[in-house]
Parts: sequence; C-alpha cells; structure tokens
Amino acid sequence: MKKYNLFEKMIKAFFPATGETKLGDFVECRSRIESEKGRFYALLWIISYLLKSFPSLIKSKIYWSMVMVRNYIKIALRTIRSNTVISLINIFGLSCGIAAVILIHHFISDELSYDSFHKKSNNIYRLYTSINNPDGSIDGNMDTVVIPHGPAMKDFFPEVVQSVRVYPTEFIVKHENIIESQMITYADKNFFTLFSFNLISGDPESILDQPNSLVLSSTFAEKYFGDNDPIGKTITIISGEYTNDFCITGIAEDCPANSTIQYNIIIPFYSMRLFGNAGMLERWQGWNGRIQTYIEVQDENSIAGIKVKYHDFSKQFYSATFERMGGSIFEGVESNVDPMSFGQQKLEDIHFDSMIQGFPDYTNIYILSGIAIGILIIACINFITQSLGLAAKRLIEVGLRKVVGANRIQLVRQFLIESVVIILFSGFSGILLTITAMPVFNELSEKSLELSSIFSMSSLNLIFSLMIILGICAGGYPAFAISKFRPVEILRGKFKISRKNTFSQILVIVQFACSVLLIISTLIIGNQIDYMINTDLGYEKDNVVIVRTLLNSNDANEKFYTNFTERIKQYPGIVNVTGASSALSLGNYTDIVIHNEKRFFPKVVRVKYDYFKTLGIKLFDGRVFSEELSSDISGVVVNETLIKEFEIENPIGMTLEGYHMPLNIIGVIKDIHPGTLRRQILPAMYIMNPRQEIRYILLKLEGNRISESLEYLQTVWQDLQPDKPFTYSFLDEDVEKQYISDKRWKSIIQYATFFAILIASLGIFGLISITINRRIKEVCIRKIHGAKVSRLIFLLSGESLILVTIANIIAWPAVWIAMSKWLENFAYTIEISPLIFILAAIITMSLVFVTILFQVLKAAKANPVNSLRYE
Amino acid sequence: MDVLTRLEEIFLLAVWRLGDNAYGVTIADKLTDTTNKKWIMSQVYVPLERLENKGYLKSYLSAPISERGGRSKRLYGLTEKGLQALIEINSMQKSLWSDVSPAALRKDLKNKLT
Repeated sequence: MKKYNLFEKMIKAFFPATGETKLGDFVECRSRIESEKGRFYALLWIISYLLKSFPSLIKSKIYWSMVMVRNYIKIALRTIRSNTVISLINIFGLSCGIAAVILIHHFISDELSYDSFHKKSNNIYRLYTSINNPDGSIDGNMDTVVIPHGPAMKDFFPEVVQSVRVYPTEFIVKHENIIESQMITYADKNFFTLFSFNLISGDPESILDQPNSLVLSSTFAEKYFGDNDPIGKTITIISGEYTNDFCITGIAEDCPANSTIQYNIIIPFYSMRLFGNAGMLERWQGWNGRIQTYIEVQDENSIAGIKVKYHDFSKQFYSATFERMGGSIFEGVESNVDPMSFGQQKLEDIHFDSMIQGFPDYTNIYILSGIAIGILIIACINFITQSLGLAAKRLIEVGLRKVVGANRIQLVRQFLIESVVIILFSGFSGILLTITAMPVFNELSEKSLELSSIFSMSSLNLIFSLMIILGICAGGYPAFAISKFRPVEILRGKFKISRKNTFSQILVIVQFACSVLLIISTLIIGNQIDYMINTDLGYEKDNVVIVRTLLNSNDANEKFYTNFTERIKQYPGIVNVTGASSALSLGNYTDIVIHNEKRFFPKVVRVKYDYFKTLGIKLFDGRVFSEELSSDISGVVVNETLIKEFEIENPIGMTLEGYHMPLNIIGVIKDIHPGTLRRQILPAMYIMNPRQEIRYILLKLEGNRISESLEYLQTVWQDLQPDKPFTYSFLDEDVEKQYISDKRWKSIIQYATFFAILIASLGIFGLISITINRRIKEVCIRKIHGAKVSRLIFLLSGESLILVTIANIIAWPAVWIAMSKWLENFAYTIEISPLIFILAAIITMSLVFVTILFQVLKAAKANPVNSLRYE
Repeated sequence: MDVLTRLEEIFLLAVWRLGDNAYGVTIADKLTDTTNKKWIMSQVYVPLERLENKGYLKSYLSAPISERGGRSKRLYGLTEKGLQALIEINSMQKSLWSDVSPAALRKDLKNKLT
C-alpha cells in the first residue's frame, strides 16, 4: 500500500475524485510554490484551496450518499409491498405502541402538573393534624385543622406570610326562577392573592372584603346571567332556615381541571356567621374534613423554623383541647408527646397523597407507564422477529450487494433506513390512532386532553425521539444481523440461516408472558370488582330512596320528619320510611369513645326506631329499637365489629360509658358494609338520642311504582318546603358511584389486554412463518417418506406450544405477586383461584394454535416438489 | 461538425500551444495568462475530460516522475478532429470579423458615451 503523507491525505479527503495523476499535479504545484515563495506561502495556498472547495465538497458528499438512499427507499417500499400482510402487521403493532406512549405521556404530564400553575406553589402548604399515641407513634392523620388554626399561625410565626381557608359545601342557590342545590365555597378574602386563579373582573385584593360579596366562575356567570354583566346583581343563598342575599363583586375564570381546589361560587369565609355557624369560627376542636387550610411561607427554610416552634404554638392554643382529647389515655402517663401534632404538605404533593399517608401514591402512574412500555416492547419484539424472518428472502440480494462492493456499514445503513421507513409509517398512523382513541381515553381517564396538545412542542419532541429510539432499537439488531451474511456462501447456495433462533424464542416468550400477565390481571380485577358490586352488603339497597331534609336545626328536622312521614305513610308505593343523621356513605360522623382505657373511633348514627327494618339489616343478638319503649332513648344498637374491638363478652344489657352520655346496649346487628369494600368495617353505634339531627329520610319503595312514588313525594315536599328543591338519590346508585374509578381501571386493563393479545398473536404469526420457511425442506422430505398431515402439524406447532408454556410458567408467579399487592388495597377480597391461571394458559395456547393453524396446514399440504426442486 | 464554444476554443488553443507539455498544472497556468483570470487545476480537469469524450483531445500517461512522488502525468494532445475544429473556428472567426476593425468599434463606443 502506498503511504500518503499528510498533504496528500488531505487532498484526497477534500477532493474525493482525485486519482493518482491529479494528485501528482497537486504535488508538483505545491513544490513549485514552495520553492518559489517559501513554505509558509505554500501552506497558505493549500489552506485557501481546501477552503474554497469546502462547500462543493459537502454538497457532493451529501449528494452521493443521498443517491444510495433513494435506492434504499425504493427497495424498502418494494419490500413492504411484496410482504404486505406482515408489514401491515408490523406497522399496526408499532403504531399501537406509539399511540399508547403518546396518550399515556399526556396523562402523566397532566397528573404531574396538578396545582403547578400557581405562581407561589413552591411556598404554599396545606395543614394537617396528626393524632398521636402516648408512645409517639401516629394513630392517623386528618387532612384538616381547626378553623382558627390558620390565622393563629399567621400571627404566631413570622415565617408564615398569609393563610387561606377553603371550605366547599352545598347550599341552595336561588336566582330569578332558578332554584337548585349547588356547591358553594367559603374562602378567606385573600383567596385570590394566594392562589393564581385569574379574575375576569374585580380586584383580587378586595374582591371578598364585603361580608356579602360573591364571586362567580365564568361558566356560572353565563348560566345565571347569560350575556348580561353580573357585577352588582344579587344571588340568594339558602341553608336550612337561613336565607341571605349576596352581591356579585367579581367573576373568576373557571378553575382549571388540574387543580385540586375546585370552585363554582365563592363567598367570604366569615359569612358563615350569616348561616348560623358563628360558633364554629373560634372553636379549637371539631374537625371537618372539607375545611382545608393553606399557608404561604417565606421561603424553603421557613418550614424548619416553624417545626421548632410548633410545640409552643400547641401549648398556647390547644391546651384546653388536648385535655379533653387526651382523656384517660394521656392521663397519668408521662409523655413528651402531645395528643396531637401538626404538619404541612406541599401544595403539589396533595394530588398524590390526599389522605396524608406521608408518601405520594404514584401507583396509577406506574401502572400506566408499565402498560405503555409493555405494549411498545411487544410491538418492537414483533418487528425484530419478523425482520429477521424476512431476512431469509433477501439473502441473494445481500450477497449480491456485497459482491458488487457494499461494505458492512452501507448494508447496515440500508436496513436501518428500511426500518426507519416502516417506523415513519407507524408514527403517522400512530398519530391517527391517537386522534381516534382520544375520546375513549378521555372517558377512561376522566380528563379532557385536547387534540392540540398532541401537536405541542414537547409532544412532537417526544414522538420524534420515540421514533429515533425505535429505529435504533427495533431496526438495529436486524440490520446488524442481516449484514453479517457472507456472500460467497449465499450465492453458492450453501448458506443456511442458523437453526438456533434462541433470540427470537426468548422474544416470543417475553411477549406471551406479558399477555398472560394481562389476561390474568384482567380476570382477577374483573372478579374483584364484580364481587364488590354484587356482594351482599348486609342490607337491602334496591329501591331505597334517600331524601335530604335540607334543614339545620334539630327542631326543624323533627317537625319536618313527623309531617313528612304522616303524609306519605299511607301511600301504597311506599313500603317503609325511616330517618337518620347519616345515610350509609353520606354524612358520616365519627366520634371518640373511651372504653377500658382505650380510645376508639366508632361511627355514630342517630336513627329512628325503624331504621333497621327499612334497610333490611339483620340482627345478631338482642333486639332493635322499639317504638313503644321510651327507655330506648338511652339505648344503643351496636355492630359486631364494635363488640369485637371493644372486647365485650356479654354485650346485651351492658352500659357503655365513655361517650357523651351513658348508653345501654340493647342489641347487636350483623356487620354491614356502609361504603366500599375497600375499607374495613368500622365499629358503629346507632342511637336514638337526639344529639344529632335527622338529616336524611330513607324510603323503601315498591319496585314497579317508583316513578309514581317519586312524583308523589315531590308534591308532598313542595307542600312542606316550597322554597327548596326536592333533593334525593337512590341508594344503589350511590353505592355504585363509589366503584366508578375501579370500574374505570377495569376498562383500561381490558383495553390494554386486548391490544397486548392482539400484538402477541401477530408476533406468533410472524414467528411461525419464519419457522416454516426454515423447515420447509424438512417438512417436504418427511412428507415424501410418508408422514401424515396430523403428524406434521404436531411437529411444526410443537415449538410454539412449548414457548407458550414456558411463558405461562414465568408469568404466573409475577402475576400472583402483583395481584396480591393490588388486592391489599381492599379490606374484603376474593380468593385468587388457581382456575384463573389455568384458564389463561388455555386461552393463550388456543390462541397460538388458532393463529398458526392456517399456515401450518398450508405447509403440511404443500407439494414437496416445489421446495425440493433446487436441491 | 459542431461549432466550438468559446471555452472549448480557449482550451484547445492552450493545449496546442503547449505542445508536448500539456498537463493539469501547465494548462491552468497558460489559461491564467491568456484570459487574465486565475485558473486553478480543479477547474480544468472536467472541461479537459469533456473535450476528450467529444474526441477533440486525447490523453496519455507519461513516465513516472520522482518529484511528483513517483506518479505519472496525464498529458493531453490535439486529435485530428480537434485540429480540424480549430481550423474551422479560425476561418469562421475571420469571416465574422473581416469587415470589422477595432478602431471603428471604439469610435462607436465614444459616441455612445457622450
């Protein structure tokens, strides 16, 4: 090999077409200049020469490489066209993967963006209360603090800049001829200065200053006032027997979907006085989970400063409360721990940890990312497997290209470009798929993602990088594998693709393991949800209507109940009627009861005597309330759980101290599930003592006359409370509502499973065509020697069935662990039956069998002459 | 026969003038002198090859020379067709310009300028 010195090398690099003679010319020229004008000048001359040629160098390099690319693309399209079915399968699979990634990326970024739009979000915290045991461990957290806590913090801690309390509740709104029950939000007057909710009209500093001011969201402004300007007009708000007029001082933009704080109508916090709740404002005990307190601190160091001084704060404001709360538990026990301590949660963390478990719950995000990645991986695996399979048809082409002078890099480039072409098609159809699937996805995820966000910068970035990554990963391996072929062997006809295709086999196993995982998960989740919805809750929920009295005071409620029940008792469509202070999942009230020096938090419900009969609740021991016995007013009916927790041996006749008044246990009912089966059944006490008001009237209706009965009830209501809307709900609907999110998850997993199975079947379809191609000669020779068709079918499908079995075996333990973990979320679960696993195995096997049947039959019946011809 | 373009004419004349010594470097120099524009070697290769394809020039390799790192030169010479073309273009030139004198042209130019 000739050795080129530096100069010659540079010339050759910059002027690609330089042959030996031209190089010689350059050398001569340069030595002439060097001798005439010196080395330095020669150097300058060279540099100027090279620089002048640079642009055309670039152009020619690009042009020449592009020339080949045109050919590659042509061949790529030709390949796609001649293998239409497989290529379409590939493209479909990849576009599913891409669509899944796009949708789920949007979901996740929406979730993570919750509450981040507030300008001060870094310094805003929500306050919570922790209930402590004397030994310092935490009994539980409440996501609220007492009402005066927030403003007191502002005065006590210099680090706290301001505090805002937000309290959504439901009142009746009246305007002209509209009268309806709506969500009204009490908020401190600095609501709009702390949070970045924009005002369309009104000054954020003073908008809630006046005690009767009111702010409407723009949707509601339109709803009540149409096109007219609402500012200065009046809206009436009614709660119980309190009616107040409010003057509209501003309109706010609708609260964004990704905000945990939602509002429609806002009134000043202190207008609570106007609704008879003035006493609550200064009380340092009594926790209402709907009242949320937010504080703004100066900077990130403020929290540490606050923590140090919190004990002094508690001592100053909470000592009376602690005395009462501690009760006998903290009495006489030396403890440096207060019965309650307080903490704060960053605003942006609330969405993932609304119940303050101390850690954010990203489960949803993990599951969805897992699904997206799973689908993508399966699609990639398909693509790789099938590219390798198609390689067999292109042996001659590759051999020829190598002979004619292509080097390895050029071949790799060719196959990468082919992959890129397919991926571009997939990307395009992936976007189409996303657009089509968006409505369904929005419904499933309860968000409202818009089409425009697909085309935003970050989204397009994502799609682009995804395609590049896919191209490299999915296209890289086949490209390298195919370009390794040795031309001599190919063209001589002796080349055999190695029979060992371990890599493909592993890929197929992974695919099927994913599918098995999803199938089993779907079945188990489906079973669990059906179980929860259909299980016997311990009471009869059908045809039960719950009517809210919408009154506040005990007297008003009593009077209303008596009048109402008098009027409707005779109506044939109404089977039973009763009243309570809470209706199973609505309006629950928990109180503290101390028994045997231990603290319990049972649910306390005030009921009318026929509560249990109306709901069909069964007795375990003793009796229920009776209308006749007046002593029953100091009696209590408890549930089994209470007996167990309180460790009472002979409950009937025993007196429960430790509540606000002594109670005589007259009966024990069988446990019922008041809410979802996610939660353990809590101990419950049912009393007739009028300490709580009867706010709910429960009616058991006759099944075939429901609409008539409702109409009748409505007329009775109109008579008794004409100024308030008749508000009711069906108990079975209320129960079902609690499972909405679980049902959603069931749908999501079902969809995911469907796609995964689809793509996995496509995968096995591809694999079997490779296998058949490879073994076609063997099959034909066997045929000639007299093998029966059934034997051949067995032979060819054997490999696939073994792979599926292995996949199942791998997937079973993984699913077991995952599902057990998921079921831990529920207090009452089904047993995971082994039948499900076997069912999944059968499903996958049959699936494989059906997919390959057609191809295998074709191969088994093929004429041996055709494939043995060239031997 | 086709009429030579100006550029081709210049090239063929340069090669003819250089006789036995017509190769990349020298042709470029000669052209620089004749046309008062700087010609570099890269500019002459392609026209030379085109002329060779058309048949006006023929090229041959010389013996290797040590100064050029042991490489040969590619020398160009006129073919019969080339010479014929030159003769033709010369007569065409003469007939075109027979009745035109530089002095008359310059007078016309002066009239236009004033």
